[in-house]
Amino acid sequence: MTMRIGSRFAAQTALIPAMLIALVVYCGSTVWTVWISMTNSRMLPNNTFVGLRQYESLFGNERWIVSVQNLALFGVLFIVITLALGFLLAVLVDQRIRGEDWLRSVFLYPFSMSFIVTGLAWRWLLDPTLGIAKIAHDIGFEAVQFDWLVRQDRVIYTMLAAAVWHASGLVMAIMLAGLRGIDQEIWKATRIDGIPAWRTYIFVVVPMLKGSFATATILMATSVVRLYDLSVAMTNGGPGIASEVPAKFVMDNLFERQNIGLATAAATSMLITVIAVVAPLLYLQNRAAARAAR
Amino acid sequence: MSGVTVSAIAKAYGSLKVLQDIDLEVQPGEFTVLLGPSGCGKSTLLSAIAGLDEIDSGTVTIAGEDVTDREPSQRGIAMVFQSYALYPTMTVRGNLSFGLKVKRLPKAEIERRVGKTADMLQLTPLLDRKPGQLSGGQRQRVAIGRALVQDAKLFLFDEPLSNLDAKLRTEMRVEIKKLHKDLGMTIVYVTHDQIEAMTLATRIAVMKGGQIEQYAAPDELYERPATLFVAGFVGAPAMNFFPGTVHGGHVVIDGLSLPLDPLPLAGAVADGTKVILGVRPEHVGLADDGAQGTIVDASTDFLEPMGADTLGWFLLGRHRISCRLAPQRARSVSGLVRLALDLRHASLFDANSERRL
Amino acid sequence: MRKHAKAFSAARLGIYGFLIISALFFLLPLYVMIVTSLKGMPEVRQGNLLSLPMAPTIAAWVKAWSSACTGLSCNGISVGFFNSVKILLPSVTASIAVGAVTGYALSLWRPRGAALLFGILMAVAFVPYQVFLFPLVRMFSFVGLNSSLPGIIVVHTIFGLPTMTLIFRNYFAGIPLELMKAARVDGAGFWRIFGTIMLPMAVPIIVVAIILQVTGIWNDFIFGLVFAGRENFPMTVQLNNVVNSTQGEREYNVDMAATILTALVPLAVYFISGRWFVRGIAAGAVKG
Repeated sequence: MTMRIGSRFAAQTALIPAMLIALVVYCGSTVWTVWISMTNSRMLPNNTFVGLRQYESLFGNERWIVSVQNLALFGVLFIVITLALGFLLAVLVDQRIRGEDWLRSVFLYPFSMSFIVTGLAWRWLLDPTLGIAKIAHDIGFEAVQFDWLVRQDRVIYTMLAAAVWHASGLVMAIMLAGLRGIDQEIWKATRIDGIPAWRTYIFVVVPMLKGSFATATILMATSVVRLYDLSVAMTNGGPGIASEVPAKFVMDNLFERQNIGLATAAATSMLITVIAVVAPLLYLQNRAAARAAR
Repeated sequence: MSGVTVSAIAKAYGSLKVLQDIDLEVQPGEFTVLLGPSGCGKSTLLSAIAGLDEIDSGTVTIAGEDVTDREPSQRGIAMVFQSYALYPTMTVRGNLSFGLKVKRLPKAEIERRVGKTADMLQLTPLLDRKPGQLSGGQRQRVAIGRALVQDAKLFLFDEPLSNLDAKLRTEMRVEIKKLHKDLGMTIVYVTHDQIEAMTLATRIAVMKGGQIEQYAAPDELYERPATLFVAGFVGAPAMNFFPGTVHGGHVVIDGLSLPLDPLPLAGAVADGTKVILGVRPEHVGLADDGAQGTIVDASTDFLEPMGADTLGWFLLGRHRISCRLAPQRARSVSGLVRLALDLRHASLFDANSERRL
Repeated sequence: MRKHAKAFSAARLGIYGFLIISALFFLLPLYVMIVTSLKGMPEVRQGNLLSLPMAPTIAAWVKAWSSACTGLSCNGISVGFFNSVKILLPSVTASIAVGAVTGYALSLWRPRGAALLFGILMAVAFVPYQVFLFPLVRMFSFVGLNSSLPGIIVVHTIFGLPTMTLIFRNYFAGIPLELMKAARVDGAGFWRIFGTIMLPMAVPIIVVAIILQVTGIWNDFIFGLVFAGRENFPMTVQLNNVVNSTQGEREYNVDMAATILTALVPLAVYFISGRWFVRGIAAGAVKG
């Protein structure tokens, strides 16, 4: 049994770094964060248990409420638009068109860049005095006030535009892979049955791409929750607190406002939201995968 | 050269017993084939001998040494796998020498052995190629070479020919047989193909449900199958079976009475015993052509030409019986015929225990 | 087969029309960044956002690279570039090494605790980083890793682990089990099989991992901000500081030059790797 134990032992040892990371960093940090959120820690962590009082003040905090509302609005629109645009682009690119490779590269390249770069590029593009607004002015549309970047009720849509630009190509790539995986005989069958292409897409192809849609939705949803860099680069949360997002709320309270209890309560709330959103999607995706494997 | 002894090996996955107290003895230089349908436990038994699968109880002895608790590499074995399992990023030379390098053999010795093996298997011109650049047959030979180069005490083959097309399979079968004849190594070979088993083996162990049904030389197995399962599994076209009851020295099958005395029985069979009579197609002939045996009346059902001979199917009461016929003769067979059953080569099984009587 | 491509039809015209307009939408920001970076500030202020520069100049690029200011120091974005390189190389190597070994052990050896570990790793892929940040900062301070180059490298290794493990596990899980058996009969152990058989076979997935990690780590902002320390701020953090801490008049041309410079590495990876990039995203995205 000597060698066998040797190799088993080696395999077990090889997992030590990952095990340490998983248990100490991932699990340990999560537990610690949840615990701090139930103490009255401010600048430094302490162990004075205060129950859910941090959560009470969190949900009475206007900045947090605005963050959550922003994220909800942004998240829903972002996911719907990227999925729709990505799917549409994938379907169109899949029509045996010329320059397919070139178009795919163009649609996907923004995804390779960071949110900081994306945010700065769009901030310049939408600059209220020198950006697209100026072009409108110069060509005679004096009345057009394209100042969404500095309007409290519109600024979230400028972030949306930038984020859609950044991520739609990814959805397209996922959908295109899904489309290419569909049995070509389906198309023959629907043609023989005389079903128009658009109907085939809606009633046959979309249900078959359930797994791709789930994958794309999970990726988009994860990036929504992590949304931070874009807000920092484009607006730094402004004007006022109009473009604050939860991740930024946590960061600000952790590192600038020295309110650790509140920050960890916010982080814990984010975690719970993610679990509530992702778990059913994962279930759907796994079921689709299991069905495909059969 | 050395043998293997497997005693009382058992293995279960939960409540599923894949190996049930198996005993098997392979003599030095013997070519033992483990034969059976998929799921019978033959590959698990081979893995247990190799040490790749852990067993719940029992012992494995190779060359007189108890190796039950040893790693595969410490058992003095070499193995050829179904998928060949060649290391895809290494050249043929690399594949052949890997195990020797791991065992830290001197360079010169490694080169000598690789050269010798490559020579024997006509692999020398391929030594610097990678497996991806080889044909199926060549890969198979490399896999065999990787085993031979080891100088092992025991060679294990796990369905090595099942990924080859029919023609290549026949060629490789001959090659393996020749290797065994020339080198005389001890081999345990797993297959589900009974022709492979019959042609290669010195002894065949037929397995079913985690147990060995019969372990015997090919002709013994064919002529005197120990169980109903072995009788049905070995031989193509398959043996004819007729359920009946023993009565006064006869077996009565739906009113048809056949005498028991020509049968090679081990002892007397009591009246009233439910039995199954087995007759191979080649032991059924046309009485009108002078075939010897017990005569029965039958009617022609249909004919199945198979090339070298034609399989004639006849109705014997409500049972169907097959018979090997010469193709020319078969063309004129129709209607009622008189069949001669050569019961001297027939087998009789107890219907309950399914064992040979 | 899909509809026969008719040489000219209203539907195809519509398809091309939509695709071309979309392509323009996707290219617009890059185009605007480039032309802005090549203009002088007077032209930026008076001219048209979309017009080509009348007298192209790389002055803004030079300034962005070598003398743009972040707060008090005016050494340009090059400082961030070299910091990012210093962070990138060890982080990519370490995260891939740990991920490859973990994926190999999980898929081909199934040691004790494998299922639990894999479950945790997969769950973490979705958890917002904010949950881990504070405890991690405290832990790092405790062991003296905070605000240091080793610290940020360890952080990238930690948070690269789920994706790296996943792609390697999935890749190795596709390797026939008989290969492992053959290696064991040949007498090779855990590390020998890994080094001489599995790693050489894993070259394609290593390339995918490199693409994923190079772009991911280069584009990181939040970890660099929190863990690297002022001395080691990566290029993204530096860029944000250059653009957002400007005192007085904003130099949009310099900002855009700095932005493009920061995007250059991932863009290069993207255009050179082509389809591998998509393959990488797909490998990292398909869970389970």
